[in-house]
Amino acid sequence: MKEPTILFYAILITTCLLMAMAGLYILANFSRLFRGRIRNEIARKNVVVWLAIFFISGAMSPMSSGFFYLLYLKGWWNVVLLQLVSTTVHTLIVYNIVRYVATHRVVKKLSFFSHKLLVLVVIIVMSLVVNLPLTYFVYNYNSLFLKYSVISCIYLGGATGLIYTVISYLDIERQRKIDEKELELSLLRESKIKAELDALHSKINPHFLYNALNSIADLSITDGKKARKMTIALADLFRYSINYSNNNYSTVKDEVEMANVYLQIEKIRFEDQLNYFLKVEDELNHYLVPRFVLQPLVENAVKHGLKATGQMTEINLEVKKANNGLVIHIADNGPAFPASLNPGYGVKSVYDKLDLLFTDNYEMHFTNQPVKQVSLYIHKLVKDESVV
Amino acid sequence: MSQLFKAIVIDDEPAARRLMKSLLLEHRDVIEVIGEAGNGRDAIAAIEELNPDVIFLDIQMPDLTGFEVIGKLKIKPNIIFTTAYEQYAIKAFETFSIDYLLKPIKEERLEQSIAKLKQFGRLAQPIDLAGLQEIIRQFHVPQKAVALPIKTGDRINLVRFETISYMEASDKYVYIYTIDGQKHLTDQSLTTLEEKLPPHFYRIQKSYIINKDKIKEMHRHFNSRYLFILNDKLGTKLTSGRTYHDAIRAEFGL
Repeated sequence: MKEPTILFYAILITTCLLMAMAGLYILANFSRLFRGRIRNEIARKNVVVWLAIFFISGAMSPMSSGFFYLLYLKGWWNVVLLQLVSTTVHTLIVYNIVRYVATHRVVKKLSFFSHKLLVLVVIIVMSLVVNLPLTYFVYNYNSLFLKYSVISCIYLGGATGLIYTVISYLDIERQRKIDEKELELSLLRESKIKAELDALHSKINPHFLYNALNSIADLSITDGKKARKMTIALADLFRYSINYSNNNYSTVKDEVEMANVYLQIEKIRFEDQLNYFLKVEDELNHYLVPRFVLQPLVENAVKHGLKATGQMTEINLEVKKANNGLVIHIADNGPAFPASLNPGYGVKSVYDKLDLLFTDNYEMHFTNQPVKQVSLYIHKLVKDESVV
Repeated sequence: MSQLFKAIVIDDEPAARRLMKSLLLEHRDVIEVIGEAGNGRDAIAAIEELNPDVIFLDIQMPDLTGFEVIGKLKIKPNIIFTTAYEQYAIKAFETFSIDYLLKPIKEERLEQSIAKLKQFGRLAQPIDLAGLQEIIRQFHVPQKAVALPIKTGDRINLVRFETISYMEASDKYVYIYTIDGQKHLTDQSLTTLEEKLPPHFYRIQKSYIINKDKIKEMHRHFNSRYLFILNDKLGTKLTSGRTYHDAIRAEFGL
């Protein structure tokens, strides 16, 4: 073989650099490569590992003088062939066995460092097992090279193991950071929900308040008892709507009580043109519902019955068990819901609260037959823990 | 000799009428209440029959609003509106200097109105119809629709706009898909729906209307089409119609 020329070195170095870059690229994108094309996880990883080993070991081989000796001994084509065979054998045997050990249930339970140490040992042992016969065969059964091979196996296997350890460590760090972000986001989401609920609360129609006060102004002279009753009812209603401070939920009992208070006020205002009946199954009293969902629905019923017709209006509120949850029916004898029903702010706020607190666990129906009513189904029963 | 004004009190709440009458009793030398009404229709009948000089008119009543009552009147008495609180109304009153009393009614404020009435025989200028229509227009700011009512049998389901991801026409029906993957059926046509829906619903194809708020990605597709990827549970992908190309470009500023 003649002296290598400058051109030969230039080509060799360029090839090696390109291969090194390709190898590093593959390592960096280890988990993403071929994700779309190769469905089987094990097959995909084998392909990626094969490419990584091929490029990196190819880039590194000219570092050892054995490479040039081999080139001299076997010629170009055989060296490339050898590289292909060695890569394939390493991937199929060393990689898969190491992978099996590293992901084994028992091994995974070990601490981070014992786990990595074990993997390191397995890598070294396995590469020795694979490399020794290969070297022995390649170098024409010259046992001198076996000693070198043992050393280089330990060295390269160790290096691979260390890289693996560093990458795993970085992975864990990154996962920790992602988890932290997740946590932060979920906290943010929670506070956003809280803010949204805050915005939804305590929206008693100011119109209602001023009209009620106007009635009290009259009743205070004409009917002191009614005036007193109405003042107390108004106070209860506002206390309930203002003091929600740290609770987005309320009990069925409290919600029905507030609907009752609201209806009392309307009944006084419209001088008994309004009749109402409340029926609640006792055992349901202590289940939780979003705070302030009943009042807007009842207000709606009053608006559609009494206020739309000016006629004698009857409202029936019933809470009972349904399937695994409960149902609240609010019926009135006003005109039927039109097909072009357009919910107002009140009903929208009820939907919003339910969306936030009982996501996918509620249904609200507007029916005209057999009775005209709104039915709110709550499929998830949560008991109020503060009551024993 | 001072004039005695004949008045009618109109309010849907009995207590509110009583309060107004008892407050007016203090001014019986100026005002005599000759009638009352609890809703818009009765009010019109009473006014036409009794021909009052002044009416105390509530705005929110079950059948007609106070404004609608005035619109239907043949005779034009002095009007003092009574209202609990309505930003639009008050703004309009002030613009047209129309007399109004806020509930709960203050005696001092009522005295002012009556003093004016006594002094000039009339309150401000008579309400011109054009101005009134303007008030009505302002007052009747149409309630913003928040949901699409869908009738199934005797039940009406409200599907809120914010939960709708897109709608698909199929035969005579339209399927409404929500972001959580639910599907509702309506027999209204896509074109009818398009007219009813708020502007963030946009037609991208003969058979699709999408919710613009739920677009996750938009890609240029071949053949003058666009690919829309929606932000719903299923990550729905829809392509726009070729004939909608220019409209879509204009709509999204592409």
